[in-house]
Amino acid sequence: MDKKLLFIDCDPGVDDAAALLMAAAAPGVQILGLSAVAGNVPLERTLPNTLALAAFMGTEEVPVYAGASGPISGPAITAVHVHGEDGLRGHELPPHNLKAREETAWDALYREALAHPGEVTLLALGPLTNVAIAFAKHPRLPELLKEVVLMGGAAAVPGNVSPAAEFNILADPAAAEAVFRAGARVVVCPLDVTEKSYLTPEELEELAGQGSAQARYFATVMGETVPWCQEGYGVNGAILHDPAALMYVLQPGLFTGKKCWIGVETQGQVSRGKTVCDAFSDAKKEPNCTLVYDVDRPAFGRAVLDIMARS
Amino acid sequence: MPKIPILLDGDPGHDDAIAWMLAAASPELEILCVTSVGGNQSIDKTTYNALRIMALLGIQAPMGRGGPRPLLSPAMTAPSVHGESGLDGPALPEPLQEPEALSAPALMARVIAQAREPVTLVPTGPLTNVAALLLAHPELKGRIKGISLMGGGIAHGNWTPAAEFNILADPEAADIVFRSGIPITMAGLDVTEQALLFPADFERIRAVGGPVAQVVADWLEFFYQFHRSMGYPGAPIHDAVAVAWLTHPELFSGRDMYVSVETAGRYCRGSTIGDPRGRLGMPANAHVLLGVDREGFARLLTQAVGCWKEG
Repeated sequence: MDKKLLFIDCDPGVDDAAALLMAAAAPGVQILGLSAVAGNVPLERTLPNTLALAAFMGTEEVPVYAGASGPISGPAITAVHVHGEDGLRGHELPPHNLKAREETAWDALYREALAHPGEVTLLALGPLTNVAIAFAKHPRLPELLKEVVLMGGAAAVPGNVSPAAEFNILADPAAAEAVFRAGARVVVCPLDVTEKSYLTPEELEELAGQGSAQARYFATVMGETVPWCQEGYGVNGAILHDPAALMYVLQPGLFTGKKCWIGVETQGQVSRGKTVCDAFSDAKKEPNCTLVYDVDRPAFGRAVLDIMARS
Repeated sequence: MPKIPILLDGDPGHDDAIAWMLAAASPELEILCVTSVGGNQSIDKTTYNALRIMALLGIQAPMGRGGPRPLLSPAMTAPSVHGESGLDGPALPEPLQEPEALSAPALMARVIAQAREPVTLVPTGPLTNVAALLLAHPELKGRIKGISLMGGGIAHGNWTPAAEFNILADPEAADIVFRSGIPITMAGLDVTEQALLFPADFERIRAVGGPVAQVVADWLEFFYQFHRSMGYPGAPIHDAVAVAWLTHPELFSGRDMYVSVETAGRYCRGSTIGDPRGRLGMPANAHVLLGVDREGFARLLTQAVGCWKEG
């Protein structure tokens, strides 16, 4: 069977780290490149974190590229209260000698898409700044990509930063709007589905006991979020936002979605960064993406454990 | 038991008419006045419809006519839902009274000032009149016990993906009302799209007998045409929820939260942004209804039409 070709744009971030560790362990996946973007923490942290993760994942041969250091429009925001000042809640990764390539994130993505037309899935786990720049500089790119699977937005549930907006979209609403308008095959994994994609305390314990350093790291950094998930979301477990989007790429059958139109509010006073979704209104606008809104939670938990057991 | 004094303000409209029927039939309620607002149709048409509904139902109260347009927005109407008259369908009796010389907000102010106890406003159209009342008569706020309104939607809109019709028609007015400090119960799409009457309910209502039952059944059938075309399994009797909540709160579930109204935005103008997780740190300004006992709601409306059955 041909491998799934994956290019991952990320802003590690503890759940980015978990997603990358899973991607490296997943069967049938070839990671073409990793790119870093400013998001959960500034680029000065997300790029070193991405490099350290590439080494820790055992994928030293996968090139790492630097992307944008701030949004294409509006103020930069971070989520250090979740991810810590270093982006990995102080959980240092082993030393390594990897360096970022000279090529930019947007040029590398385009080059890979040209080399494998219609085959590359872009997994976007942070603000969509790099993707918007890539689409702006390389107008053929949206058509060349197999699909863009992104973690971001909130369709029918409240946001996690403002009442209306989810972090990745609010961090660069203009970039997100540009991506939705670009004509790419976009799959959106918003909070509606990611808040349902969690590991229970029992599953985290099983993960920690699997033996590999990667599984232990995953269980440790995500396990620390459990009290916060309980208090803020009423979820008894660790919510896995970014791993959920990766899991959609690996096993879409675990998820439920529907085609719909999404626009990103770039101008509102209280609604800036809201993913306005026409899955439920009478306006019946022409769909521009697939909205993923539900997951088979127990099967998801099982799949995470099965994949990490291979690490 | 003392009756709850209420002011009916609406843009009839089939579901306004059914809401007013329920109010007139409810022994728990006393209708102090009726006012019209532009919305589902022009102010001329909604005023005429209001007077015809009062004649049909025998509502004996002063009637006030609203102004020609929203606070800032151009007037918008909904002929696709309610027809060219704003209340298409069965023949209705001609008005038995003229509107008062006072405007709708001025009549509301007089009625509130003269009421023996604080009143409850029941707006089921755009909030133009209520906002004008609150702006012109801040001294009367203490005489308003609460506002039970139909409008908005936390999860989604209907007229646009983000906005519900009544709020979209006059977002500035809605913003004034939601920031007024007066306790609000919001019957938005979250609950009203569950407050469905099915064709079997229409027949049960018709079978009650009497002139009002026939008219209400005809209204329901007309109202259902549009909603069936949009894929609804029944007719959502949005406005009647705002009345039913006052007399039968046990039929509903909901939660307190802060609700903002977006007055700016490219996609979000007129949307109600709920903050159930308290991210803005604002005290709740609304009790947002989220669920309904549909059977109980349908039973309530069916019993109500029996009030006009000839003995």
